[in-house]
Amino acid sequence: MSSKQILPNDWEVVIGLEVHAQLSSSSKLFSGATSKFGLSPNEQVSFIDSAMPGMLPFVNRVCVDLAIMSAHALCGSVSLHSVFERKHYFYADLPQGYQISQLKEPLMRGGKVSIALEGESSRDISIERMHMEQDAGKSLHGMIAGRTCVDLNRSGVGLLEIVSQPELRSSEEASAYVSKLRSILMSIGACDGNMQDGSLRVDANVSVRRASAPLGTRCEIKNLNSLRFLRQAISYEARRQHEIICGGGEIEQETRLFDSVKGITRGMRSKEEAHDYRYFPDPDIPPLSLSESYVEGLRAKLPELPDARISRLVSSYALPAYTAGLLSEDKYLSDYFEELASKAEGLSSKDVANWLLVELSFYLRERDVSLSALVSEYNLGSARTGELLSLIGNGKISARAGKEVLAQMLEQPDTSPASLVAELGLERLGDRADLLPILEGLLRDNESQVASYRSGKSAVFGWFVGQAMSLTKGRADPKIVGELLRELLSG
Amino acid sequence: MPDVSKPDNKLSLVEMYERLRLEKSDSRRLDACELMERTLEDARGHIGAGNGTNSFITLDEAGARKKAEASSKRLLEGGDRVRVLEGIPLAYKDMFCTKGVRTTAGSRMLDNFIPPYSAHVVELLEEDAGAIGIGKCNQDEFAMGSYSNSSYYGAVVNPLRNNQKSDEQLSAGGSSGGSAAAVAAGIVPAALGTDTGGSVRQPAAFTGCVGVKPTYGLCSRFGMISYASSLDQAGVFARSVKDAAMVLYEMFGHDERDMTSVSHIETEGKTLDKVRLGIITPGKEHHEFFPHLQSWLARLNSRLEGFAGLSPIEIADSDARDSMLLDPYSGSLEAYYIIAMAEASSNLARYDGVRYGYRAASSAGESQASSMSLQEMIAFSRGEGFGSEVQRRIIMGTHVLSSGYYEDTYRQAQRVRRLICESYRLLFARYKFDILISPVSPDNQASALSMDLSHDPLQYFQDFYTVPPSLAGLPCLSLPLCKDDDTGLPFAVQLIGNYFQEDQLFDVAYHLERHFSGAS
Repeated sequence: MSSKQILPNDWEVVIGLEVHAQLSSSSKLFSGATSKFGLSPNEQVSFIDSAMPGMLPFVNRVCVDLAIMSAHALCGSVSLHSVFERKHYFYADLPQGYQISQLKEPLMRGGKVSIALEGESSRDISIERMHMEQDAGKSLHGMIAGRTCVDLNRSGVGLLEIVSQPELRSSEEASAYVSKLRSILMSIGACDGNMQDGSLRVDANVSVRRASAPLGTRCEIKNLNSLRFLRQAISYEARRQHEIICGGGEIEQETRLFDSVKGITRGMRSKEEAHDYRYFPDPDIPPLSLSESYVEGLRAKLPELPDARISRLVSSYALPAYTAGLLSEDKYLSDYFEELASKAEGLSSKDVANWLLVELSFYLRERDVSLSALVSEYNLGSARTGELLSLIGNGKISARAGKEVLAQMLEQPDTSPASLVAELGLERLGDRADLLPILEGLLRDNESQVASYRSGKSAVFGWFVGQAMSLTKGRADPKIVGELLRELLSG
Repeated sequence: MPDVSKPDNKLSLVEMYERLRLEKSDSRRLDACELMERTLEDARGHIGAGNGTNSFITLDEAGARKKAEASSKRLLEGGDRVRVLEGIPLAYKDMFCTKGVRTTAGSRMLDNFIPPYSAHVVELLEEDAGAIGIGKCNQDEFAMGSYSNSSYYGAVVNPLRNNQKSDEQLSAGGSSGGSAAAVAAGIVPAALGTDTGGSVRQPAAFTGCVGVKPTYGLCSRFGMISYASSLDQAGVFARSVKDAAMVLYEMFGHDERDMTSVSHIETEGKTLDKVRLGIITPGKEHHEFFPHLQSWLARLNSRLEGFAGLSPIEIADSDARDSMLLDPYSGSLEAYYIIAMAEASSNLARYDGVRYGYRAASSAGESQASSMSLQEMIAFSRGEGFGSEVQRRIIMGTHVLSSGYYEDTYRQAQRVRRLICESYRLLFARYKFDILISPVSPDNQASALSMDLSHDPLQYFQDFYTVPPSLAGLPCLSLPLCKDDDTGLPFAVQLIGNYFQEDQLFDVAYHLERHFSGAS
């Protein structure tokens, strides 16, 4: 449901997003510890991450490089002088008692992300700033009854915080923005983009107002870890605020949490309860000083970015912009598409794209795996899958039969598509001679339908075609089936 | 000529160095194991309140013996494997983490803390240079204090006495009082301290030791428990300039684990006759606070007469203090305490009872611990684990960083700090001074231990002379020149050098030391 439709026409929702993206460097921002996901608790914790006495942070150059490349990719301007500051609060999973972040002098200012909704032209969303900071650990409740356990594996992992201007106007736009940002960061290897694992988390600042009125009071919804939750939370929050205002109430500035089970947001703390974080420059870390040539040198290392890829897919493969956008969300997907497009004979690029986005995507959802995992596990490389698509493109099998072959390709990863077609007997039945006996049999077995067709109920014709296709397991050419049926029924 | 009448462990480090290396047949030869036994025996009488100087919190007897055996072997074998400080016993302030040996920072908070790592300087001294740490010295809690009386392990007692009041116990100064007392009492030839605003220089002056704090960044702070990161530096206590230099030169070196550490920059020192000495004292507006200043100046001038043909210039009264030049004493104490407390409040936030250190039990005992909320657990642990001076500084540091106060306090303090750096820069660059001489502390001698200043903000004045060069990060050395005729207590001065001019600082100090030992 669109938030545009949620509010009456003369109202609008104003959204600004803070995206936290975990840097996918092999080690943490200020320590040499590894930064993998999914290890047993406290398996990758250095003395620095657990804030042992006398331990000092040192900035991991790899993280800085990834951050600079991200800044280039977001068209932002990199500050040659940026400062790490300490943000203080006490919590069990924050070992130092402060988080090292950047406040007054962030690594990047300015920047933009271009988004396109289906059927609309693209629009640039401005980015206010991007800075580096460290992640906190995790408090695990309920692992041991009555106790809270602390896992510091995530403590100290590098994060990019990317803050948009409040330029988003619907939950769909917000979702498209995050999705595009995610694909940009993934394309340069700065973030693995796994929202379900928390590698990419979103805080949404939401307010509503009458069109062209001054900005309303905003609420911040914390820690949204899927695009669906993001859309739901914004829609709910916009509706909630609109109701309060229409009822004569006022919005209180506060931090809220999204309850994904009930689909609602709930107050967490008000402005009065807000922490005084006591930011000050970290005296253990000298200001980050970068040379122009170093920063520009990293620009040269940028791979093709999603926007460039989208334009290329549109111009070289004649794809609609929306389809090109979907393919470019994931570099692996768009690479795979290009390989398949070059191998699939007789099939249009658009059909190839649809095969990927519809048929293969079905198995991704069904098995909850990534495309690369599916491809490697079931031997679905471009050679084998390309062969399948060529069988369809060259008219050897019908598209419907292709789907059956694909299903079997997952069952028998070592068998070629051509062998599977033979094994399953799925070759297209193109000869009238092959089809005639089958159709004659069909008519013989369904005399009452034949009679009703001949008495003028022409709608029964469709039923006959369906029966014919089903008898031939989709192998028959529907056009020829139609011609033959018409001849037989009229005769 | 070495003094053979002294017990082995009372020897100077240079003498130990020489005698550890003598031929086996030589009767004056020192054996590292025997030296260690003598040292440990001595040190055992100085642990715990009421025992000697109470200069030690923890002794690592077994570890020290094992290392002494290895050193003894190496020294017997001779050759390349013998390292510079092979077999020399040292003591470390309890701010330096030592692998496998309890490290408390003088606090109940870390009473049970045994680090699984060593400070970088400890690694350099032991692994590269062959020195042997015998134990951990008492200190003010988390290095916050000027009298070594805020320790959870009781106050440190100065081994020196005032001739006129010989029954009165004196303070060893602080915060590195235990290290100073251990060296002054002759237990070890040298010890490590940390100096944030004078914590090596002032106790050195109180106990008659040489105390050196190098340029900020010269020694890695890795593994040294932080008080105020932008000011903390490791320093050395010894009984002579040469001994101090021998140890400090083994602690240098860039360490990538500390981003504020720097590589030693080689500088060209001047020959002694070319050195320009300046005596720097606070402007007249401060004089009322320091009744001893005029007599200190008169005494210094009369004593320095004839020293290497140099005539030091009193900067306070010379043309040098022109309108362009900010008095480095102006506002420095205020700036120092704002910055140090702000950083301390942040650096000590990690002591929350969650992962290590002291954790408060609920009033009903451990079994009820779960009845406390997280915030209560942290608050009670910090309230019970930290002493009152530490709590006071955390609270004040928290205050100056709070929104609404930051601009007027912390920001201003940083501005003052930059001006102080600039005033020193002018003194060295425009006025061409090489070494600045000042008092070490306002009282200019050890105060009585019984004097309770713990609730008196005036105790912070103790750092008046040592804080300005700390804010600028300059290398300083506290040097006892002679003994006071009446009290018999040391009369010490502070020498301040330009950045990385440790060589020049040691050279001038060495010649001053000789000049005065000849004179007395």
